[in-house]
Amino acid sequence: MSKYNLVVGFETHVELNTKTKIFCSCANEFGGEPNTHCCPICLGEPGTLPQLNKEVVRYAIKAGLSLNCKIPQIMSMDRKHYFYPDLGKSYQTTQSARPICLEGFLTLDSGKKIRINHIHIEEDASKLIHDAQNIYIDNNRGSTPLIEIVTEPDIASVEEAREYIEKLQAILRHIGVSDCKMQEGSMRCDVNISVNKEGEPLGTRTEIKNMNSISFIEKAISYEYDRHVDLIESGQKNQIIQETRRYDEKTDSTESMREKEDAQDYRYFPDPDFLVLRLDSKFVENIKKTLPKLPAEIKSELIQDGIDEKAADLLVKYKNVSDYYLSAKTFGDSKILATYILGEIFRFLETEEEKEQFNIKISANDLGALSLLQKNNKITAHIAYSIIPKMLKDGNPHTAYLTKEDLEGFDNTEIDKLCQEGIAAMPKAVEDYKSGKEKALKAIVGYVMRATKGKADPVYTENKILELIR
Amino acid sequence: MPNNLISLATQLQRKEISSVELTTEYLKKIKKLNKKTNAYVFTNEEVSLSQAKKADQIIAKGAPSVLTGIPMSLKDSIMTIDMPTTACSKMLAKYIPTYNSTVYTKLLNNGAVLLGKTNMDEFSMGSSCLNGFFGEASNPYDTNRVTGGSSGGSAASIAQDTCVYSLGTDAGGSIRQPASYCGIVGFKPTYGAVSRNGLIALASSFEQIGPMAKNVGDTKIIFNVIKGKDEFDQTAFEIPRTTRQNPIIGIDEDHVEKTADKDTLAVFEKAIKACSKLGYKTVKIKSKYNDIYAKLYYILAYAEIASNMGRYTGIDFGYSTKSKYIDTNDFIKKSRSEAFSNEVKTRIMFGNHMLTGENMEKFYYKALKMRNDLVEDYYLNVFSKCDFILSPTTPTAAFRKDYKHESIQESALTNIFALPANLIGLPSISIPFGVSSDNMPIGMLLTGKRNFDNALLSVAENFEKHSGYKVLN
Ligand SMILES: [Zn+2]
Repeated sequence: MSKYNLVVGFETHVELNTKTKIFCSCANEFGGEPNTHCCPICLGEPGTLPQLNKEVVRYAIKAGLSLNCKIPQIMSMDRKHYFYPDLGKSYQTTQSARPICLEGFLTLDSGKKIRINHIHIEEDASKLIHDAQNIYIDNNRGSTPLIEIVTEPDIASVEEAREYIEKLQAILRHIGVSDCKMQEGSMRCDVNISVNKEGEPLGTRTEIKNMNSISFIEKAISYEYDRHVDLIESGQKNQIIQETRRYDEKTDSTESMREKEDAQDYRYFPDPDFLVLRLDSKFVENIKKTLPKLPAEIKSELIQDGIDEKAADLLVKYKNVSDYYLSAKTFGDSKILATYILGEIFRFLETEEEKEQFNIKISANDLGALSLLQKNNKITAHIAYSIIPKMLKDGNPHTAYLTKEDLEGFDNTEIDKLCQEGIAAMPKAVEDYKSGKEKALKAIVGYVMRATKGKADPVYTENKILELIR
Repeated sequence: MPNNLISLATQLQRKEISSVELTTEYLKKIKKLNKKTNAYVFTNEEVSLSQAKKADQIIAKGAPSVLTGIPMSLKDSIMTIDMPTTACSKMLAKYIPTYNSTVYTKLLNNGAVLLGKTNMDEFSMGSSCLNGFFGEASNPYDTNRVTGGSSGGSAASIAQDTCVYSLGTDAGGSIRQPASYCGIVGFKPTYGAVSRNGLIALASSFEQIGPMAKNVGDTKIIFNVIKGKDEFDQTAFEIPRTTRQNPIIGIDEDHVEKTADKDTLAVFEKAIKACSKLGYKTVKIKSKYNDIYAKLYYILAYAEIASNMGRYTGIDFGYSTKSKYIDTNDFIKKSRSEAFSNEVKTRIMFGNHMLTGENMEKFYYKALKMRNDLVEDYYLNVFSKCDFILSPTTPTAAFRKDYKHESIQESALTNIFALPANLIGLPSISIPFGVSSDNMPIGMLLTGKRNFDNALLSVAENFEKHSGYKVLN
C-alpha cells in the first residue's frame, strides 16, 4: 500500500431522455440529420425566450430523490458566459446559486456513502464537427436537457470510482431518466483527482474532462495518481497545478489542455428570463410516488432470495432486465430464472446494448413456467438450457419444444428397472455408500440419468435407489 | 383629436372609408413626411395593402375588432416576418426574421395593418434616436431637436400622423420620454403584463413592450389587445382587472423642483391643479433612493445588456466580418467590432466589467440587493400613502440634436422620473400636458402600483381631460 491517499470527486453530466428539449418544443433525440431538430429558441435567435420544460424539472427531482437529495423549496436559473461556436447565445443557461437538488449520497456495497454535493439542470451545447479547414455546427444537441451530478471528493480508489459510476448508471436507468450511454455521450464525467498523506490537508487537484468510458476513467485516475505521487516524491510538488487535463487513450496518459478556460471568468448571474421557481412539497411528493424500486433495494431482495451478489448486480444493472426478471419471478423460480437470464439469454444477447434493450421473444410468463418445470423435476436443467436458445430464436413457447415424453419424464417402472440395473452394475458404489460415503450414491443416479438421456427425475431416482439398497 | 383610433374604427365599420383607402392615404403621407423626420426605417406597401384588403374583408363579413383595418407602426426591435427587423443595427441590417413576435401576432389576429418599422437607437441603447444605423430621427415639431428615444421613430410617426398608433419598448423610459418629447401618450405596462417574445432584448428584467398613441383611450384599447399570458414568455402573466375610486396622488415636490426646468415646473403645477379639479387628494411622498436610480440602472441593466448581446457573433446570424481572421475568436471579435457602434460597445464593456471578478460582489450583487430594497421602500413608504405618483415625464422638453450631455450622469437625468417604474416593474404612463416657452411638448408622468394598469389608465384618462396640450401643426 502506498502512503498516499487517492481523493477523487466526480462531476457527471447526464442527458435526460425527455421528449423535448429543455427550453423549446424541439425533439430531444440522439442523432438525426444535422440541424433538423432546432428552432429560433434553441438557436438563440434575437428576441427568443426560454420556456422551462416541466418534464426536465420532474426528471431532475426523480434523480435527486433516488440519490437521497434534499429538494429545496425554490430554485433559479443562471447564465454562464463564454464565446464558443457551440453556444448560440454565448451563454449557457444553468443553475449556480440555487440548484434543484442538494446534499444527497450514493451508497456503495461496502456501506460507504459517496456524498452528492448537488444536482443542477442545464442545457447542453451544440455539437461541433471539425475538419482540416472548418468547424461545422450541428444544433440538434443544442439545448437538450442535462443534469450535472456533483459529488464531494469521497472516492478513495479506482474500484470505488467504477462502482460509483456503475451504481449511478443503474439508478438513473431504473428511474427512466436517461440511458446513461457513455459511448454515445449521454453520460460524461469530469473527474477531479488529488493525493495526500493520511491526516494531511488535501493536495492540489487536477481535473480530467469529458471522460466517456469507465475503463478510461479507471486508467486516467491510476495515471494521475502515479503522476501526482511521482511529482511529490521527486520534490516537484509545485508542478502539480490546478488545471484541466485530457486523457489520451492511445498513450494511456493525461496531458494539460492548456486552454484559457482555467482562467476564464464565466460571469454567472441570475437569468432574468426566468422567474424563481417554487418546488412545492406536494409536487415533490407526487414525484416520489412515481419512483420505482431502486436497484439497491431490488438487489437486497434478490440476495435474500438466495441469489449471489454478483448475479444480483447483473440482474439490476439494466432496468429492462430487472423488470423482466421480477416479472418472470412471479411465475417461476427465482434462482433458476437467474441462471436462465445470466446464462443462455445473456449469451444470446451479445452486446451490452442488446442486454440493455432486453428485447427477447420469450414472455416472462413462459420463462417462469419453464423454470417451474425444472424446479418440480419435470425436466432437467440440461433440457431447459437446450431449448431456451430455440425459444429465443423462433419465439415459440416452451411447450413447442417439449415432447410429451420430456414432460412426463420416464415411466417410473422403467426407471425402477434402470435403478436395479445400476445397483447391480456398481456394487462398489453401493458398498461405499453403506460405509458412509453418501456421495457414492450419485454415481448410480448418474447411471440412470445417462440411460434416460437426462429425462429421469433425479430426486425420484435417488429415493428409489435408496429404497432398493436398504 | 383627428384620426384617433375610435373615430377611425367607427368610420371603417360604418364603411364610410375602407382600410385600403385609409392605408393608401397613410402610405402617401409617409412618403411625404418621412424625409422630415426619418421616423420610418422600413415600409412595404405591398404588405400593408394586402393586410388592409384582408381587414376590409373581415369588416365586410361583419366580424371586426376595434383594431381591424387601422394602420399602425412598430418599433424596429419587434419581430415581424413581413418586414425587416434590425433593431437599427448594422449587425442585423440584413437579418431576416424567422418568427413573429407575440404582440404582432395578436395585432394581426385583430386585423391590424402594419405600415412600417420605426427608427430607434441601435438595440434600444439611447435616449435620442440619433444612434441608429439608418440615420437620425427628428422631432416633427422642430427638426433640430431629438424625438427622444429609444422608441423615437414610433413617437414621431404618431406625432406627425403617419400612423394611428405604434408599439414601443421601454427599459428605462424608452417609451415615455419620446412620447413626452413628441406630444403623444406612451404607456409602459407592469413588468410581465405584455409578452416580450420577439422583442430583441436589451435589458430583460427592465423592459416592456407598450402602446404609444394619440390619447389615453386608444392606448387602453391597444393594451387590452397585446397584454396577457404567453406560452413563449414565462415572465408574462395575466394582470388582474383593477379600479381605484378616489385615488390619492403622491407628489415628491422637492425631487421635481431640484431636477426639472422652469417650463416643465409650470406644466407640473397645472397637473397638480388638475388633481384638485378632479377631486383627487394629493400627498407628499419621499423616496430615499432618488439619487441612486440611475446608478442601479447602469449596473444591473448594463450587465443584462452585455449578456444579451453575446449572441451576436456573426456565426449563426447577423453581420459577419469580411476581413481575414485567424480563428473563431478573432472572427467573433472582428464581426462585433465592425458591426456595433461605440455606444453599444461601451455598454457591453461596462456591463461585463460589472460582472467580472470581484466587481460581481462589489457592484452587481450589491445593486441587485439595493433594487430589492428599493422595491420594499416604495411599497412601505410611498405606496402606503398614495395610489399613484405624479411627476413630469422628463426634466425638460426635447433637447437639441447638437446638445452634448456633459456626462453620462447628466444624460441619465432625462429618465430620472421614468426609471423607478423599470427598476420596480410598475405601470407608468406619459400624457402630453403642456408646452414649453418655445412650444415644444411637455408630458406628465403617472405611475401606479404593479398590476394596477387598468386603474392607472382610467385615472390617466381623467387627467387628460384637463391637459393644456393642444396638437401643434
Ligand atoms: Zn428548439
